[in-house]
Amino acid sequence: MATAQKEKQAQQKEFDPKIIAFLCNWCSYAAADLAGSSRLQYPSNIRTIRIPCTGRLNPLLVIKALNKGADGILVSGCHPGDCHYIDGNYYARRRFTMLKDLLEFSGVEPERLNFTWCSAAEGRRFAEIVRKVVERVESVGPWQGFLSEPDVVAEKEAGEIEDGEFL
Amino acid sequence: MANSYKEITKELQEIAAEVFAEHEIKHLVGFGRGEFSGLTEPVFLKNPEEAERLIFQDDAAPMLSKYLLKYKPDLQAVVAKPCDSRALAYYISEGKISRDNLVIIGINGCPGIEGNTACQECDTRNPVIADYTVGEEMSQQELEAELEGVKYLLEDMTPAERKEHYSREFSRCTQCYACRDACPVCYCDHCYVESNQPEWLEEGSSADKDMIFHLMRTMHMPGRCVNCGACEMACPEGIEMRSMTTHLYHRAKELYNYRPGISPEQPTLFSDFDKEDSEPGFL
Ligand code: SF4
Ligand code: SF4
Ligand code: SF4
Repeated sequence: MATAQKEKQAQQKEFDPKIIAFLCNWCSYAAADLAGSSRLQYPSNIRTIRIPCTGRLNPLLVIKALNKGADGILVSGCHPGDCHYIDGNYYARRRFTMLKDLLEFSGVEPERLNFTWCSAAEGRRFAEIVRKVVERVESVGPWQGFLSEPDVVAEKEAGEIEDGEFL
Repeated sequence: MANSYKEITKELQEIAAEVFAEHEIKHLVGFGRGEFSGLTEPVFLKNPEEAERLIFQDDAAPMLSKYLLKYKPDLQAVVAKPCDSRALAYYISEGKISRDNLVIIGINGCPGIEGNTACQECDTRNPVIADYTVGEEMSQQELEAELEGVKYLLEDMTPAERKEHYSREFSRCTQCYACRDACPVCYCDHCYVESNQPEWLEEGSSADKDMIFHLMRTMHMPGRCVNCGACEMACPEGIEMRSMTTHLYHRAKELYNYRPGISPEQPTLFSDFDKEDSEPGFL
């Protein structure tokens, strides 16, 4: 195996992504429970936050989670039409679409932003989703923040800059 | 064709007298020459004799709609650029102000504001609501011809390039919130930036914190931003941040056929849904 490939693999092994999962109490959270009680295996990279409904998830919380160092986000709610509060997830869908669009526009990799639906009976699907999300986040590497280093930008524009010039 | 500033000014002065004669208004909010600055500033006219103070010029950047909110139980007249009229329609749709308390003098065929990049991509050149209008209406064909091939801000950049762009821009941001204060549709009594329970923004200003401020503010803007460019015009650091809100403005148009403030009856983007809404990029 080429050394570059090996190195890459080693790096990926070291990288243990932290993924914040916002799960709706009425479906995806129960699906996670079901996956657990059915002893399905899935990576332990997700940190679950239980929310009453995806419609209650303030999009700013997703921005905040990334700001605080999450490598990726998963938001999962009831399938459209099955919301416990009848239409919360329909509202959420528009918000997430806009949020995802904004973050991707400004440079966040799409792989970090995962939105999906998963019912309480879909333990198997939940485990699959988590596996997929972890894979997606691993494929883009550790999260470096919303901005590029200002020094790097300045250097790109000005050409080589002596270290001292920044001081 | 867009009307000239001179014609608009002349007609405004004539109509202002008419408005005073026909309505019992508290004041007429328009543009006038600043007494000290010499710039075009909002003026509050109390009687018809002052009508000649009204002007409209290429530096009439402030959004007058926002000044109305403070006096909203009273009957007020306002000079409205087309973008301002959309902000007003949005206010009415949100129940912020009553249509009955407004006398709107709309500017047809708006010639735009100097240095405001939003005017180049403006898709509303006639007011959406008005009681009186000045200038000739601009026809739909003409508008379409002008917009032909126009790209919106940063549309053609890659996400990585934009990331660099924002890194560069926000390294100058001081979080003075002038962009928020100038925005006609940022009118919350208690803005998230001042909230400390929960604390959305950490104290202090650094490029990455500024980015968080802008991302969060932009997330309040889909379905509200009327793409007027006042935010960018107000920034004392000359920071380009409108591209964020503008992008969502255009995406909402593409995905939901939604344009904020197009009619006072329109529900807001996020208070409405369609069961068939698409789910781009969902797993
Ligand atoms: S007006 Fe400019 S400097 Fe002030 S907060 Fe907005 S972007 Fe930052
Ligand atoms: S955010 Fe939109 S509506 Fe607000 S000032 Fe900027 S362009 Fe105008
Ligand atoms: S930034 Fe958000 S909370 Fe603040 S005034 Fe604007 S819309 Fe309201």
